[in-house]
Amino acid sequence: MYTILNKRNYILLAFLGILIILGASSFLYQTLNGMGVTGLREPVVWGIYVVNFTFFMGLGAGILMYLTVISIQKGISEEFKFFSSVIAFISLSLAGVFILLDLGRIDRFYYIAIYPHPKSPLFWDFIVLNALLAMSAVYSYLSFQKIAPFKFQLLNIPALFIGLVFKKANDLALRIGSFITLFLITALYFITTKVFTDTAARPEWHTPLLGIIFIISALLCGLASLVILKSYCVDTAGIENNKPFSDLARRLSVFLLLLDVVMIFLNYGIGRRNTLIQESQSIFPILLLLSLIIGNALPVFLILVSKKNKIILNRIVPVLILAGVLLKRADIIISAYFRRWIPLAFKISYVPTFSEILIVLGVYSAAILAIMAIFYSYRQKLK
Amino acid sequence: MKEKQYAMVVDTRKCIGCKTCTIACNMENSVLTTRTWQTVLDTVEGGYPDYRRVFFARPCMHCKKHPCVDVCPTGASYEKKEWGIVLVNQRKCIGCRCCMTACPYEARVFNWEKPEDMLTENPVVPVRRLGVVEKCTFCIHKIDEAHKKGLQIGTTINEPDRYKVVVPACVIECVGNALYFGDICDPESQVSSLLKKNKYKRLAERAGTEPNVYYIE
Repeated sequence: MYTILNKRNYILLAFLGILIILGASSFLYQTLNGMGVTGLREPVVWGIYVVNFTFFMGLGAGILMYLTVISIQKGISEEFKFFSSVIAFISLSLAGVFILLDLGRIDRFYYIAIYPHPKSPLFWDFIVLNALLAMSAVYSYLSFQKIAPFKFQLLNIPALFIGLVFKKANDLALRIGSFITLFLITALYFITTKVFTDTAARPEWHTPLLGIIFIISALLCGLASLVILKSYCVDTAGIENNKPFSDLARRLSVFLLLLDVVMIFLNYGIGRRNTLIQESQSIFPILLLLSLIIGNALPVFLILVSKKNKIILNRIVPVLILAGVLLKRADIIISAYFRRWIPLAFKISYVPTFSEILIVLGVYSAAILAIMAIFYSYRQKLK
Repeated sequence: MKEKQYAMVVDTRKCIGCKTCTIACNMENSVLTTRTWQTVLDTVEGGYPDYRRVFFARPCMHCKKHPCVDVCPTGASYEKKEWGIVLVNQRKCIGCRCCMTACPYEARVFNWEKPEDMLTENPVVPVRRLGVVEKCTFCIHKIDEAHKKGLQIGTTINEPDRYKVVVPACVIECVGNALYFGDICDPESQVSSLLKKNKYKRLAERAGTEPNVYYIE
């Protein structure tokens, strides 16, 4: 399977393997000794795990939203659809892993299903996450079945059945299915944010724009990931380029990036008025400004200036967009590291511990390994 | 249908900030020395040159509109409807800490470490396990037992002596007699009487949680 791996990749594999082992050991240490091994303490009870959860949830949902559109587009390769759905699935799985890591009693996680409480945001996160995971699994299955039908024939039957139904209905069923999926993702997102905005103790969440901001972030992350994926596919896996998608991606990126800025400023104006005075004394506005420069202004500038430079458009711009979104999510962690040097820094003092960081790196490594395995298997198949 | 609504009144004029209530609570409820269910906060009121340092106990507010109960994904946080007391079912808590994020009073604590470091362990109140949330219960075990035995719960106008009735540990041990406990629905209770006679306020009223702990100014 990995015969095409060179020496450099073996070193990378060994490095990832070590990080996975260290992460697993740290997780065992956390499980045995409790969440006290993390840097979390009252009043900061959510940290690096929840930051990662929100980021990967948005990333997975974003890719999936594009998949609903891509799946009904003619001229886009099945390989690209397959890799997109796999990335969405891995991203959503990461979100699931990170929320599990954050539980004080991980052994009781299934209580959310057996004692459901629909007023809880976490319950809706659970519903959304599982729904999106199921959708991405279906997309992965259908596109994989098209590029490489399963050797075990029984596994191909559902796809053949779905294909038969779609053909008879002249692809109408696929379009309706995609529309329903898109509607479901959006609706679930809005229900979750509605539950969040009802939280009495968090006036900074009391804004009708929270759902829209989350959706825009998800769409930006999804688009950036797909652009990177497509350029990587073209470079290494030999999947054909698709120009209309690139043009559309550029225009859509500029639109979403500008809309994101407008919504964030509107949100500060409408919903966060109560916390504005409190936050004005903290590092958060500085970080927000930084994230808007890195994640919004700079990408828009680069897209408009360098229209033909593939490295800038396919690699640098999407990475900047992803970094900007991550910066917005991770403000609580970053502020803790910089508070010593900034006199007006917020009094919150959460700093992730070494153990926490090792766990996060271990999870990242496992995800990278999974993606590498799928890509190399595909390249091997091409050979 | 609510039979009773237990509430606490804190007379800030009498509180001296000695934190005896905190220690009494920790010992009665087997709370770790590093945690507090009953915190004593202090603030400064008034303007120059007439400043006044004000101490006040901050237990769980046992809110009528309880955001902590709403956000709990498993229903581990619940309200004992007949008494209006908000509790945590330790067997159902998954340690997600949503309730801690939702509480405007930061009245909940999480068991970050193994429960090893405590003053005493009350056999009636077992120590909570690692990775779950806990908080003030208004000494529910005492109220529960008193109900079963038919004892009087909370001080009344006729019986203002806190040593002769059943009240939470913090109330009974308060050095300055600044804490009062009783049924706010009962006009004969001392808490109702105090609220009628005095000017009072509740913490973070803007959050709309309708807390059941009142502060006499």
